[in-house]
Amino acid sequence: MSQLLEATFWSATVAGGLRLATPLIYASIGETFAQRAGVLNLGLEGYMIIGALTSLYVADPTVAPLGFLVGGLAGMLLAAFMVLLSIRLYANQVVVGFGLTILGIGTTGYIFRVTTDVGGRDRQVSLPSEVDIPLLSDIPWLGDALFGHSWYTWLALGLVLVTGFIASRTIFGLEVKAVGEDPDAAAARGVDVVRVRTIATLMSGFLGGLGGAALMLGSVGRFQPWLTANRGFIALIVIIMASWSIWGAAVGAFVFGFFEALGFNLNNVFVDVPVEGLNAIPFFVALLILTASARWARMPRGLGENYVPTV
Amino acid sequence: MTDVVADGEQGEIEDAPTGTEERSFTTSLSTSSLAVLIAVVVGGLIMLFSGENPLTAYGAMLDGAFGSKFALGETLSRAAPLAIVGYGTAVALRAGLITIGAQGQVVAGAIGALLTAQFFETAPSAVAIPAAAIGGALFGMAWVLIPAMLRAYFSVNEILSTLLFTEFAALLIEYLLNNPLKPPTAITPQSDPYPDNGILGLVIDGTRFHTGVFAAVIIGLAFIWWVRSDRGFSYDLYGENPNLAQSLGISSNRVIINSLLISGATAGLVGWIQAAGLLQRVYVGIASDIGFFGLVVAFLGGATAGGVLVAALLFGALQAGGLAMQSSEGIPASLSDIIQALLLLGFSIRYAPQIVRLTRGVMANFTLVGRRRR
Repeated sequence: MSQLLEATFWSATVAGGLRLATPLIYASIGETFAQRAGVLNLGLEGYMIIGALTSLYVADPTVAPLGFLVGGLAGMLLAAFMVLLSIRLYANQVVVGFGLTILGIGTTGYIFRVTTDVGGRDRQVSLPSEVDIPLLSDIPWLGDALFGHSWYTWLALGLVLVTGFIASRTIFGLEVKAVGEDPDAAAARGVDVVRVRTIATLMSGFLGGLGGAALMLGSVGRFQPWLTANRGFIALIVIIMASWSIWGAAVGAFVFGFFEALGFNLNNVFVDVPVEGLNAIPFFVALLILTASARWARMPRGLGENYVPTV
Repeated sequence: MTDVVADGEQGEIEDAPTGTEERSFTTSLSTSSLAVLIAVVVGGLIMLFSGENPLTAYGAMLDGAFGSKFALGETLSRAAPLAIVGYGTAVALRAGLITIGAQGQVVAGAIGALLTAQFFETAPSAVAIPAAAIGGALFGMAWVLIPAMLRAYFSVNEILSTLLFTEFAALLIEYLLNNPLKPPTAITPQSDPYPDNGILGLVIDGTRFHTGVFAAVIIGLAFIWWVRSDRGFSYDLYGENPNLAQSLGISSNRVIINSLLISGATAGLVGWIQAAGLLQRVYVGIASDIGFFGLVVAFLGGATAGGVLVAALLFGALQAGGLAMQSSEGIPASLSDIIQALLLLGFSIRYAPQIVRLTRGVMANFTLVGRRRR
């Protein structure tokens, strides 16, 4: 119990939270773009897992940054199916999303088993070292919590700034919002709805793939079937909590990561409490947040509706 | 393609139901065979690409699904849970709700059935078997009660809330099977053997075709009754056009809560037949992927009685065949997941009219947060 009063417990939890949040940050900022444009990617889970496997298979013989990038491209490839089926052929987004999630899990499971010899060497990567920021990392408590992270985390935070800027301060960001709220009105004002939605969906695939790659290369290091374990769906909760704001999504991802880390770390404090009960904490918090979000969140009005150009 | 175009427009009922269904049968038959063909060809290409022979693989798959008494038993014992969950999910889908929580509700139902069966361990089978079925169904319903109420009263998205409850169920069963329900001698997490007086026996010896499979028939008949009943009709109406239904005095809270409770009860029953029939014990992985694929089956079947049955048999055969192929040819059973996903994607473009109507209703009711403003 006394551990709870120590600063190191909390700095370790905050640090762990940021590490666990990293894949969610990538996935949720990309998906925020797609949803702001009115496209619901329930296939995010699929984008993530295909990104995770691809990044490992590329990074194992080459280098991690290349694997990371190709992981993003693999996610984008899967998202291209979403573009084709839902944006071009008007198939229902929910149905296609579930299909892509199953396709991602099935394909990665298949490739993993086909390429893994029984008793052979597992493909794996060594986890990255922490990139310390001089001076800042030496601040006593905050230094441990905030400034000792791998470059995957730093890049995620950098992308939050960049995409947040794009979403709120550029013409493209405005177009995204317009086609998500009322595609017909946007089209009437000369916005190419299909093009904007396509770009936003591919972004979601790329960033979802990067999220899976960050999970693989940044904190797991080896593949197992269905490695992502519903993180793609957790990212959807994060987006709702953030009310479709990019900055908010980063905060939301951290909140979930923090409680996940808290659940883990509390296992050492409350030894008598069942592990499973403590591990349920982040999901319980997610349920509370999901319920409470109705008070402040407002979803894009055209979300989930296909846009059919009137000729 | 014209029938899909109306997808985005809510509340438009353009076809008279009878005419549509007559026309749809041949079109849906040809489009579905095309989708199946594409899925099989792409699956074959994937195998070619990974250095396997697709013909031997598909041969092994067919053999493992239909080739023997045992294979048929495997197909049926895999199709039955998918059909039952599919029918329950179809009730929710027809009311415009998408639940993927069956996964967790199957787990809850298995726990409920086991606990009830252990309580009635000394009772005659005629008491113990129905009691365990009811116990399973009640646990399944309990597992969806909170998501149902959250959806009804706070418009909390049911996909995400039921997904969280699946996580809770996974953690709960892991705890129970590692601690209170674990026999002292067991090494891996599992329960005691299911009590003898509650076992659903085999129909054919030398297979895993157990009497619980017949529950799928009963649920199928109940589903047909439901669809034709007045209440089922009003739920369908709500699913197609919630505003119209509400203006006719249909309570939205009642539709949401009841249809989700029905889906929870059927998933709970699946937990019971898996525990009492197929496995005769409770394991952590007892739900395997039944919950997710049950939803897919409901979608593919257009939430109709016949469609769900066909889709469940097809998926049951694919899964049984896939596992047989894995053990005989060494080709991963994940291939059947790929084929099932491709089937869903293939059907998503050119589905039968009833699926168009279904998905249109789902979108009319869809919300991620709060009530939908239009």
